[in-house]
Amino acid sequence: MAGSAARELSFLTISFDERLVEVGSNKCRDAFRELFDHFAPRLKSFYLKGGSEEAAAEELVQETFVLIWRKAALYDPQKAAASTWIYTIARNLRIDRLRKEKAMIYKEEEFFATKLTTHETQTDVTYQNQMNTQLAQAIAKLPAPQAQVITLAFFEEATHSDIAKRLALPLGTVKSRLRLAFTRLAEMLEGSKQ
Amino acid sequence: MIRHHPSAEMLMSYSAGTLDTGQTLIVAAHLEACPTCATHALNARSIGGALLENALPTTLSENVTFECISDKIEQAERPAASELESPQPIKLANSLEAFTLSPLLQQVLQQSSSRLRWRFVAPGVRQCALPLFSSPAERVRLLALEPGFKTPEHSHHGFEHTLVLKGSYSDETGNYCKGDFQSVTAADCHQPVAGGEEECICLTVTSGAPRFTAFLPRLLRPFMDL
Ligand SMILES: [Zn+2]
Repeated sequence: MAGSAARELSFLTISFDERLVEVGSNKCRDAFRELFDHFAPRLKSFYLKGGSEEAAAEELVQETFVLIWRKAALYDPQKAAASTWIYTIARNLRIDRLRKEKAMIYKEEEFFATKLTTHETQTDVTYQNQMNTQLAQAIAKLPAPQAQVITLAFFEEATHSDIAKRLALPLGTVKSRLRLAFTRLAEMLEGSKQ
Repeated sequence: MIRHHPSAEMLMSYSAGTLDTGQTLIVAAHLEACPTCATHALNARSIGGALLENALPTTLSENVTFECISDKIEQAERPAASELESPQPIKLANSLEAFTLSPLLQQVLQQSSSRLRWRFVAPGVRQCALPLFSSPAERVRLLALEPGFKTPEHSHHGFEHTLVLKGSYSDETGNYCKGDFQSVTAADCHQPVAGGEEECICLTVTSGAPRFTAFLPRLLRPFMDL
């Protein structure tokens, strides 16, 4: 990644955390609009990649922003990047949608899903926001086959056996590529905390 | 001190949201007790966040403008105060005191306490099925072994994930104490033995019935149902 692009990214990353805090503490519309302008078109890509139809994807984008507005006061920039927090909300909305498409939902299952979202978005793990820029750069630097499985697993939310099928690779190969990529990214994240 | 953890693949699937609910529950319960894995899981979600933040955008139709979101949030009721506060500790039934490892699991069990029943399986073993989740691919249950209980040696058709909630057990691969996590797949064969000091209670998530290697007719039938 070019130096100027990296600086721009770093500026953006820090500002998203701050924008989300402003939405949470002051109900700031301008900050909310900045989050919308950046994340809404990308969330649409996320939901489309996850298999939603165009209309459903856009509905989910709107639901995501209503939730971001309502829950922003819970966001703690010490605990996760804004992008991680938004990803968690979007991922859970997608799971909820899938669950509702099933014929039967247990009340415990819904209860558990709600509890888990709260639990995850308030996780106690300390995090430092500068690492997010480095993470994006590290993903961009992964060997192409590793970047591909990481994207399929986390952005398209394919199961590991789905990935194996889609890429016509043995499951073991997919798992070892994922493990290599994850180890490399995790080491980078751990290193940046010191 | 927790020494046995879910695999990196399982933590990644958990973080990407692709595990079935029972497996999600057992991993979430382990994470509550294990800061190491909780950090891995947060790292994994950070990868998802970084991918989202840097994804290629898709143009939105005129149905999704900032103005229509603004209208929606005007209409949306103000968040209830309770939504913004830390969750209140709920008063738990005495029967759930053994599950201090995971407040999340305690709350899920509390929700459904009227539907939970411990059943006798064989001398020294009780189980409590958790008919909480709708996925047909997995079975979620609590298992209680008396001190020193030897399970019959068995292998599996599918997977078996176990999280120790209380007490301990050992098998050929090691000693599993409170908070430890074990995954056994179709290829493995094991014979867990409960620790001698106290009852061992585990949360297990399985697919496929276990296969027994020794001929133990008296114990075999109940365990096939296990
Ligand atoms: Zn762990």
